[in-house]
Amino acid sequence: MINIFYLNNVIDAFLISFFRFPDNPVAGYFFGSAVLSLLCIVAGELSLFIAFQFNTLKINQINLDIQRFQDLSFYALKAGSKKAYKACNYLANDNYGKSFFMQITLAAASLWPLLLALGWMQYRFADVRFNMLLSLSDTEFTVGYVATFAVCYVIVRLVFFKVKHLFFPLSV
Amino acid sequence: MAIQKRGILHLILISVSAVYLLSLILPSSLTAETLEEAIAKTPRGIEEGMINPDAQTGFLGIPGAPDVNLLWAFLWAVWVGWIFSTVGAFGGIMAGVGHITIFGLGDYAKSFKNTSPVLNTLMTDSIRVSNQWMVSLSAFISSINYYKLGRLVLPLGIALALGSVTGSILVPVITAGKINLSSYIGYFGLCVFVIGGFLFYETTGRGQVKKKKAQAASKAFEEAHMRLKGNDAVDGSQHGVRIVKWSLSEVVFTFYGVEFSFNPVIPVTGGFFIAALASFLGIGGGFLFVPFLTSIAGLPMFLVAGTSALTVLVGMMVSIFSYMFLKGVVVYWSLIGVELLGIFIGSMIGPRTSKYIPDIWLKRIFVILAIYVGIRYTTKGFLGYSVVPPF
Repeated sequence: MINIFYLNNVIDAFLISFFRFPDNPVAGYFFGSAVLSLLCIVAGELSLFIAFQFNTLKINQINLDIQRFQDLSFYALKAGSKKAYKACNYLANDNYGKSFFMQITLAAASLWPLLLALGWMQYRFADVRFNMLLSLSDTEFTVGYVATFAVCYVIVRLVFFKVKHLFFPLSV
Repeated sequence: MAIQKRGILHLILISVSAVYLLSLILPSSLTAETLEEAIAKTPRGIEEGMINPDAQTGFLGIPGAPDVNLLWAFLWAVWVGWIFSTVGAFGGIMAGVGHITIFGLGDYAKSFKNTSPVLNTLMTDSIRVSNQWMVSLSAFISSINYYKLGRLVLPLGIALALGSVTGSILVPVITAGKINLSSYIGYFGLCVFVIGGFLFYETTGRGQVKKKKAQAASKAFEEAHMRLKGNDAVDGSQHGVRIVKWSLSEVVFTFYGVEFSFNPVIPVTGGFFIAALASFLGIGGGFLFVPFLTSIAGLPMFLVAGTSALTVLVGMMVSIFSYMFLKGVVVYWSLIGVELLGIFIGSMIGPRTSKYIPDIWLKRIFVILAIYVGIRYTTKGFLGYSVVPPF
């Protein structure tokens, strides 16, 4: 499988260096996974920022339309007008569809580095398996690089968003 | 807030229990083979349907398999991203078309239909899980945002999640390793017809009139009762959901003092079929929950969006867990990563081109495309040949 991005020796050498940093291979694996997760999150946030900058008008317009029809539908409920409620709810729903797919593209902007990282992990660590401490059945249950990297990514992401304001005080 | 937290807890418990039960059942009934085993059992040779061990490895590391050009994949994904940001749901379809046809994976997998059925089905699973990762993972993240915006109607969330989780579990269990590529392509084609049908309806006079009527009614109400300006926006948190009655046959709740009711069977059934379809075809079904519940059950969009978002999260977790961890489907991650990058770029182009092409004409163009793709895939899948070119 030719992998024009990951088989690049420079990137590969750079990424694997984090996995070799601690002497203990297991510690190195998780340390490297955590650093790779952080790189993915930062790259994803930068992409998301660019996506917002490019599509600000459209994003704002869709959000305003949703808010407007939602508010109107609430007022219609309060006023007891079922006909107006149904009409506003229908239009809010119509705008929800547009918003849903816009959100999909925004999520793509923040997630693509994660998937590329998994591609690199697949190339490097496809054979790595970890035995689960608690087996759910008689059959041996192991997890590979996908599960371990996903856990690392979620933890690093949670920590990143907790401390982000310390490094980027103006970010929202 | 307390209801929200309890709701999350309930839904997490449901999904964890479902996954746990699944893991107890599956190991004893697992019949799907690994990719390596399937490759080893495939006849060696240079003819169609055989594997030449000396050939360069391609897709999923299979010797002689098409080597998906990541640049083409990126460009195709830019097109998919453009569609997502202009026409919406059809983007998921075109993502699937890329995996099946454009990258040459469909024809390659099909060549093993008789010589190595296991390899054929494993590639089919990989294609549909790739679709699922590409579309649903993004929907998964966006659903978190909707969940933050909206609020939870606990009984609705549980009913929807029950149906959705069941659908997400059953489809991988029943079909993984069993659906060959021809059947998958056939069903995919039928689904294209359905989505094309919805698009077509929106371009018809009836579809347009419905929207115009709704716009007129909302405008009339706004002019008669409202003078919404800037900060006058409604604070929905002051008018929460109050559950009045909760039974197996009827749930009644009030919102803004107005009573709403629904039969829990409706969200369970709807959730099941939407999740099953999304899981089977790998096209992502999250966007269907809200129209389903607002149209069929007449529930407020604001509440449904938040509730269904949580269901999407649970359903997605269970479905991918079932395919990936219990059935061991192999996914070409780099391909999906490059595709997501393409979608991100394409979505930035969409808003800039849409002002030159009216929305209704865009939809008409995609209706024609849907008819072509639908006919091609349905006939190729079920008849074995396409009745439209290329044959």
